[in-house]
Amino acid sequence: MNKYMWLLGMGLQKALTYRVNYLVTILAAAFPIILQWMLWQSIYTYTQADKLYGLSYSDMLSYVVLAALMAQALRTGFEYDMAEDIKSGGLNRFIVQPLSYFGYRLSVFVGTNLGYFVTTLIVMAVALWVATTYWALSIDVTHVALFLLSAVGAFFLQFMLFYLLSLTAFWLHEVWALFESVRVISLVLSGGVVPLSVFGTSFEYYLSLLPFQYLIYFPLQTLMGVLSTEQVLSGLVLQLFWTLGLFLLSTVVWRRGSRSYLALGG
Amino acid sequence: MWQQFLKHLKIYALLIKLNAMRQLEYRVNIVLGLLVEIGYLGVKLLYAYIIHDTGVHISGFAPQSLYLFIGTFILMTVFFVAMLQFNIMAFDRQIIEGEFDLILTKPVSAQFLATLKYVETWMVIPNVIVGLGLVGYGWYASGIAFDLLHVGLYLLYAVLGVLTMYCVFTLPLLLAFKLHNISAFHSLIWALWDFNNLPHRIFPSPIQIIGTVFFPIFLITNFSPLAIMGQLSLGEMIWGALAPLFLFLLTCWGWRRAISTYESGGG
Repeated sequence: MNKYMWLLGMGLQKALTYRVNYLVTILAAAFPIILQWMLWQSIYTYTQADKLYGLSYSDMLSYVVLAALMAQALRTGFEYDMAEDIKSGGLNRFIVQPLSYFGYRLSVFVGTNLGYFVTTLIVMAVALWVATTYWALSIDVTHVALFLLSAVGAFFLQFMLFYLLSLTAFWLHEVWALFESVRVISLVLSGGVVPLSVFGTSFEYYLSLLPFQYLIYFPLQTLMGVLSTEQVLSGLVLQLFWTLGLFLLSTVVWRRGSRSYLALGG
Repeated sequence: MWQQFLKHLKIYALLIKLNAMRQLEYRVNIVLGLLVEIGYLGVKLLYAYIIHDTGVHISGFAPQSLYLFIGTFILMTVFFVAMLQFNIMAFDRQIIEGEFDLILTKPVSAQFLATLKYVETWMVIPNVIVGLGLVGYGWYASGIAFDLLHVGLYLLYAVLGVLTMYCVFTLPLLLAFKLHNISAFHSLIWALWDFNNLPHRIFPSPIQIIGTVFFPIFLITNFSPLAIMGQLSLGEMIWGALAPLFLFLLTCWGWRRAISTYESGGG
């Protein structure tokens, strides 16, 4: 266990080395937020509607801001390292070392992203304070606690999703396009751009059958008190189900992929 | 000057051909690249869907006029992805790894080669189709005459928009000569680019002024639809024509200054 904690610490150190990088990324997240803010302001002013897609103006604004930040909190990047390990023989050292590759990747991911994740949650807390003070958003402490739980679940679900995706490098030579297309599709289907209610009830139902909504939409609905306690609890169970399901699937894919691994290079 | 321009134009045509042939070697990559672009296109079209669904008028523009803006943005994305995106991503690496030394030895403008040598050809096809479709529909539905004057005006400001785009996104790259690693700025550049997804008049006046005068990102996609809709004042029309030229001169001057501090980094 100690070796994984050490890896986690290494990841954290690496992340802190590029803290300006992170600050610029957060700054970049402000631009789409401003764009959406202006769009929704125009829409609510023009339509004079109290609610659109089930959300009031203040709810929509809060959602857009929090979703953009949540998307930042769930950033990945390890998939490129994994693809490189598979392509250029970096996995070789894990064959001879008493170290699980999954454990290694998870520890480094947690270490590298923990700082980003916590900092973004702090920025979200500031945004939440603004939302409750100026946009009249009502937030319950229980919802915040449940949100934190679902956010941690989303963090691991995101890891599993991209871990599984990275394993395609066993069979595909070029993977960046696949990674990027899944990233953008996942962003939209998880509610990272607009709430899923925008797509209509039937489409929202189909999306609920996929794991993506448990990354952003579900945690934010929990935070904003849209869901009842029972719905939140069943959502948390489904989130865990997807995480474990993807873990099991990745174990199977890893085994099959290992058979076609050529151990080139290094 | 004119001869130099024509010479570089010919070289650029050759670069397009070479890049298109090189990319055809890896056809699966083309398909996957298309997938990525379709994904990003979907995000851009989300705004069009919301506008269509709510029927919102933004700053007095009806939804059909807004399609003209979104379509122009998508068409400009073609130039952004084809001309700039991959050059921006590779720019600091060629300075860090000393690849820039080789560029300096070529008998063409180093600025031209370092900022425009990669051309993405096939990946932009979905943007071309959807962009043209949206502009065509927006044009027709807005009742704008399809005559030489309007088409010429649209194309003129579109070309000036491309020039502005080149300058606005090349100028920050010059920091690479000083800082070397500027990868963090990439996300900022992508985010700034997406600012053009909707007409700039949706923003409060201070943002409009900053984006039109000081960091003229709004000139890229807004002025061509505004010009054909008769929504540009004389002052704006003049600024829209002169600013790209000033910016280009500034970029060339900045390039000469930056390059004088260049130290070969690689082997």
